[in-house]
Amino acid sequence: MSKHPVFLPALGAAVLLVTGLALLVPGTPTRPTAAAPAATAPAAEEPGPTDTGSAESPSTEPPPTPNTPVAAPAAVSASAPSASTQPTATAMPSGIAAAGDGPEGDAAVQAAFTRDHPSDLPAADAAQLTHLAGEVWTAETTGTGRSRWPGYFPAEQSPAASFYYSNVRIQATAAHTEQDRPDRVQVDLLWVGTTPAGSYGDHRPATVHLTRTASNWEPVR
Amino acid sequence: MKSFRKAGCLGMLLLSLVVVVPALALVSEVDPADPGSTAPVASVGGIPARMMTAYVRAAGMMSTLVPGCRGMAWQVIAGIGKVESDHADGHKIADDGLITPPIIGLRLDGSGKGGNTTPVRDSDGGRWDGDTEFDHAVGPMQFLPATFAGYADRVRPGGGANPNNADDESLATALYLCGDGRDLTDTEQLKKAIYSYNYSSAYVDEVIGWIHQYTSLGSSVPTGDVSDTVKQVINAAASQIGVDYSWGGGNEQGKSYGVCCSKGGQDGSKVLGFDCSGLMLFAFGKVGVHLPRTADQQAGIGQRIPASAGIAALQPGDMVFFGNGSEGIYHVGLYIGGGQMINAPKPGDHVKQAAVWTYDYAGGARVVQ
Repeated sequence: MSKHPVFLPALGAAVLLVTGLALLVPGTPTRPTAAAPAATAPAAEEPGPTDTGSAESPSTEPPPTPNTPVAAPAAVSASAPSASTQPTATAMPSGIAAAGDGPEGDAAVQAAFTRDHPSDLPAADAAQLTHLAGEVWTAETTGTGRSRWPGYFPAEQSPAASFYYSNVRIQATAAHTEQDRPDRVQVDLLWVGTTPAGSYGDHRPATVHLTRTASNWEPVR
Repeated sequence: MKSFRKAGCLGMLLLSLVVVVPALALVSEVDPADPGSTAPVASVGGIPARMMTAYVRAAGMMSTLVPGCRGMAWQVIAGIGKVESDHADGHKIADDGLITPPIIGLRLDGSGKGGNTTPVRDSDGGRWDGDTEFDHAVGPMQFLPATFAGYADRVRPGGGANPNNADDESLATALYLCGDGRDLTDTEQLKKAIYSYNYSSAYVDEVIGWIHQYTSLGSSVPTGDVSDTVKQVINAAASQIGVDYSWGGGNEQGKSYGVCCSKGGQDGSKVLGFDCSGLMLFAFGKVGVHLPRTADQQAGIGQRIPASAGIAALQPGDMVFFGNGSEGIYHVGLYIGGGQMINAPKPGDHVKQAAVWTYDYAGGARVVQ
């Protein structure tokens, strides 16, 4: 399947993964433990405290995952606050990028995405197919390159003006086989784009489905 | 969105009164017993009242105009309106529905501008778009003139249909989506209908996200008047609208210089402002609640509002979080009701009011009420 040298992307992915994992290890130089949240906490988007004060831990409970409620460690009210963390002098660089953090933050987003979406494909195949899926999604969102896949993108004019995003960027990708079929691959990705009305968004989730043809891989809906 | 960077302290104070009070007031207008009715939901999700009237009216007419169509609701039309023109944001909407100045999209000359590489020759003699050579999309739903013309007689049988009339174009949108009698209660048929409106999966995702958001808001329980404590928290956050985003910036005393550097390279030490959780420190600090520093830490305190409950479970004054399985919580804002929040969104931006994002919603946390 791979017609091009693939060791460089694979090596890059490996470096990103190792780097991302290293950033999550408490005590590494970039993540001082003094200001870190609970050890099981996911990485935060912001730096840590920025000026002097108590280093008291705000909570003994790990933060929740997005869809899992956690038991509240304490009901906080104006009269009885349960957490008192004043900023400290040490920055606490996190392992992930802030919302809207720009292209340089994408490596961290990719590292976290790779960790959460491990691929079951050979690295070279995964690199090739995620690249292809990125091109398909760019065509989907910007209109550029749609003619490469005439079966996937209909040529007829829609009733409204074509809705294309600007400043589109693929932040992270992950490929894995679909339905246990060797001829089907699903590529999940996170992307950035601004709507024609000016609404910016990043970490936008999307999925591209690919199927193997006699000589190539093609997107399918 | 408008920039408030140059507003002074007095401007911020006035702004807070303008922004916050209506935002709080609209929450009590939601009627859980009849989420599809016109008046009670008039301000949900930042939708102008006149646009909402047009959406509700158009949806209500489908049972007569397309009897076989099922599931057409104002939220579906509002989803299109949000994505296409942000509900005619920046334009005036008269009582009769006429939108001024008219909403006219890019010239579709195939030049590549705005992604348009396929020229669309003039179809209306420049009547709606002022261009006799190429067409432009027109109106709040951004119909092509030729498409709108195909619905004009059904929209106004007596003549006079206008794509820049909120009622007319909303009705044309409803008719288009209903087709010959789609069942829009079927998710797959709804997606196909939206896809037929614009051949883009990203577009479908975008519209579906807003439909879900509006549906959730339309059935939310009214919260009534909020407490003085909640008002203080919201007013504190609103008073900072326009202040720059600064990586690591902000504390209980107010904006501050942050630290170097975000993953994307913003050097917060050179920007006076707030990051997302820094804004929460300040807002809640005003009522004596001392929060931990980062968003994921803040998500771990107080009464947790699970994401599965939807944003309808949020109350003004709740922190609202965003995250995903791979990165955890990566953003926080302050919910102010009506599907809106005040947040410091990203490097290079500033504190602003915005709709709660339609993706990566990770629930909320209630620390005051």
